Parts: sequence; structure tokens; C-alpha cells
Amino acid sequence: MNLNKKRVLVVDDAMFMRILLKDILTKLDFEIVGEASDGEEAILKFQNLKPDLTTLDLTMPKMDGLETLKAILALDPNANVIICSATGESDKVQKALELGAKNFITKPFNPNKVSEILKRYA
Amino acid sequence: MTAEKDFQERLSHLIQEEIARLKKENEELAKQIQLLEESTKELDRKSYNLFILYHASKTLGSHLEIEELHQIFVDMITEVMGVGWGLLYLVDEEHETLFLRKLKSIEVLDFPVSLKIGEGIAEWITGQSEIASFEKFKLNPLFLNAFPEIQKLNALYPNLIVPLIYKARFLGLLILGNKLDRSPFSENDLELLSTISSLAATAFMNAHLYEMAIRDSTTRLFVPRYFRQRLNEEIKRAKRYVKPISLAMFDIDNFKQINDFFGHLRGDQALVQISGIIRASCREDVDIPCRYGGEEFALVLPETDANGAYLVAERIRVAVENASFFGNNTRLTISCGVACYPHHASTLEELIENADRALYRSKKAGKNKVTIHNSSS
Repeated sequence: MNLNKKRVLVVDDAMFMRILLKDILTKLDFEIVGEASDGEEAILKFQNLKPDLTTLDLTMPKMDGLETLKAILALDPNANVIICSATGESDKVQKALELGAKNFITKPFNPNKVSEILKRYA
Repeated sequence: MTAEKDFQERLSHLIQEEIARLKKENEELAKQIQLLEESTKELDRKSYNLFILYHASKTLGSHLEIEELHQIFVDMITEVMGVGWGLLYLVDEEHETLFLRKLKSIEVLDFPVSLKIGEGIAEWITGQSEIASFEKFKLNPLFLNAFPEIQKLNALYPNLIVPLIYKARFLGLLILGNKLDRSPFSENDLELLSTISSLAATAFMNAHLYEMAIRDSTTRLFVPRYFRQRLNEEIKRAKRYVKPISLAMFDIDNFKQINDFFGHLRGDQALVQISGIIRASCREDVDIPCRYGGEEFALVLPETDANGAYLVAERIRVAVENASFFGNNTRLTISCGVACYPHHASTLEELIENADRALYRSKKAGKNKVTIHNSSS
């Protein structure tokens, strides 16, 4: 374990999106400490792993991104949560930022653009 | 005075010339910048495509489980394309119908579960089977002959249809809704879509061939070769972690008489039904159920001692005893022998031999019975 690396939890229902994000994050020197494919799993892992950063997909089955965000911020109001949204979800993104998400990245992920945003949290 | 005027004129002329030259240079520079911007954009596009394709081929190439591959593909495409929904329809074994196998959607819509395949399918594949818009496909008589029920999708307003074809063999259709931001699909989208789909078609075919190689076609249980390979691996693992591993061998009682009396078709039905019972009694992705021979089955139970294996085998025996066969209340029974590594055997061969020996003892003791190998006998 590298104590200097920032620890990330990646939340997305699509395995392929998690693969892409993990690749970008690893190249930026983050440590991936966990993955979750739905909101409930995300909250559980957030509680157990206490990550420095959480990337959170907005559209997920069971519990959507906004509900998950609220639950995470209730556990830690200072949590660093970055929203992953599809283009065309700007209302939801706005809502997430108002709730306390720190930033957002837009799918489909352009590695250069996403890196620009994520490296601020490395 | 004239000299001064002359000088002024020359100066102004020079200035004009200089301005013109600078203007021209400036234009040239602007053009260069524009070209550079364009090539940066193009480079950005290419690096994005490479990023997606690299991970797509790595992900699709590293999975052999068919269901999982289907889900990965649908998720991948809907997310990369940013569409509201995607449906994966795949052909059945008889190539008569397309069945909805996987879907991804952010809203609940009424998707048709099947689409009939028409007689024009072969002609369409050799003709225009490229990716195209739903509207374009609807005007293509070859397509309509291939998929006469396609209008079932009309109410969903599909946007794109992606045919999945592997070496002229039609595997299915991927149907996509509109992009979430309502923008049209770009050239680049279509290029990516077409490449990922052909990667997926190859991956689906590989997974299918792998399935055919490791599973028995009648019972869908694993074949003996795969069984021996896995048992070998599991014994090595058991040795390393000092854990027991058990083997249960089953044989349907009086199977020859069943075949002679009811015919081979019924015999196969019995095999299928009993395989189903065995599979349902297993831990998914842990235990390894196999068709070992004609009417013989083997079940590998990792991290299970002889008593644990006995309980599983007994559950299977009772389930078979209580089942009704051929829809006419015919009753069948099954005998079983159990042996455990390392208690009853130190090698793969010995484990199989001793489970077989215990099975023989069950038969000798009157059948419909589970026997644990006894080292002293």
C-alpha cells in the first residue's frame, strides 16, 4: 500500500465504464480501492473503505446516483464525489453539484478531458 | 520640396507593401493554425478511438462466459454511444427466431421479446447488412424479407440497427435508441460501432465454440475431458491449501431397460431431467457437474469432505426418487459412490477409482443408494 496515493472508489453499473475509469485513474497515480455496480453497494463500500475520492455514475439501477450521493454526503459531508454523467443529463448534474458533489465528468470519457479534471484531486 | 514629396510617396508605397506582406503572412499563419487545430482534433479523435478499442478488445477477449459477454457488449455500446437504450437480439439454434437476450435502458419500455426471422435472411446478409438507421432499413426490401416482424419495434422509435455477423454467419441484431443529448450519430460513432461489433461477434463465436467444446450437447453438463482437467486443478489447489475435495459418481439404475422399454428419445429425456436435478443441487461456479459416460455422472465438490459430499449426493438421490418422468409418473432411481481427497485417495486416478468402487457397492447393495468409499473394503 502506498500511503501517498489517493484512494478511489469507482461506482458505475457498467463494468466497461469502470474499466475505462480505472485505467485513467491508475495512470494519474490514484489507487483504486474498490468498485461498486449499484448505489447500495457503493454506500457500503464508502463506509468500509473511506476513500479519498469517489466517482459516481448518475444513472444506475436500484438506487440512482443522486440518492446515493445524498447517502454518501450524509455519512461524510466533506466527501469528494465526482459525478459521471451522460451528455443530456445537465439538470441532474446541476442538482448533484447543488447537493455537494465536487465536480463532474461527462461520458463518453475522453481520457484527456477526464484526466484534466481528475488530476486536481490526485 | 519635390525630393521630399518623392520620399513621402516612396515611403507610403513601402508601408503599403509591408502591410500587404504582413497581411499575407498573417493569413498564412491563420491557415496554419487552423490546420494545426484540425490535426489536433483528429489526433484527439484517434487517441479516443484507440483508448476505447484497446479496452473493448481486451475486455471482450478476456471473457468466455456467453451471458456475461452479451451484457458487457450491450453496456459497452450504450455507454460509449451515449444512447438511452440498447437491445441485443440473438438467433436461436434453429435460426428461426431472434430472442431478446440482453437490454440496457434508463427507462422502462415495452420491448418485444422475439422477432421472427424470414426466408430472405441469407440474401440480406450477402447484400446490404451494414450498420444503418432504422428508417433506412425499413425501406430496404431485403431487410424486410429477412425480418418480417421488425415493425414490432416501431413504437420505440429505434435509431440504429447493428447487424452482428461472423464470417457470413448471422448471429443477431443490436438495436439502439436515440442519443441522450439528441445529437445525430457521427461518422466516428459509426466507425467505432462497427469495429466494436465485429470484435463482439468474434468474441461471441469463440465463447460459443468454447461452450460446445466443454459441454455435452444433450445434458449441457461438462464433458469428461474438461472434468479431468478441472479435477486435476482442484486437487492441486486442495493440496496447496490443505483442504478436502470430494468426488461423487452417479449412475442411473436400470438405464438399459429404460432405453429398451421406452426408446432412446425417452432415455435422453431422463438424462436431461436428471442433469437438471444435479445442476440444481450444486453450488454455482464452485461445484463441477459432468456427464461422465452414457448414463454416468460425476460431481466434483471442492472444499467438501466425505460427509458433506454424502449429504449433497443423498439430496440428489432423493430428488430423483421423488421426480416424475416422461409426464406419465414413471419413477427412476440413481445410485452414487463418494470418495474424498486426501482421505480416500492421493491421486486423481485413485479418487475416480474409489468413487467408482463405492458406486459399485451401492449397486450391489440394491441400488438407489449413496455409499462413501471405505478404505478397508
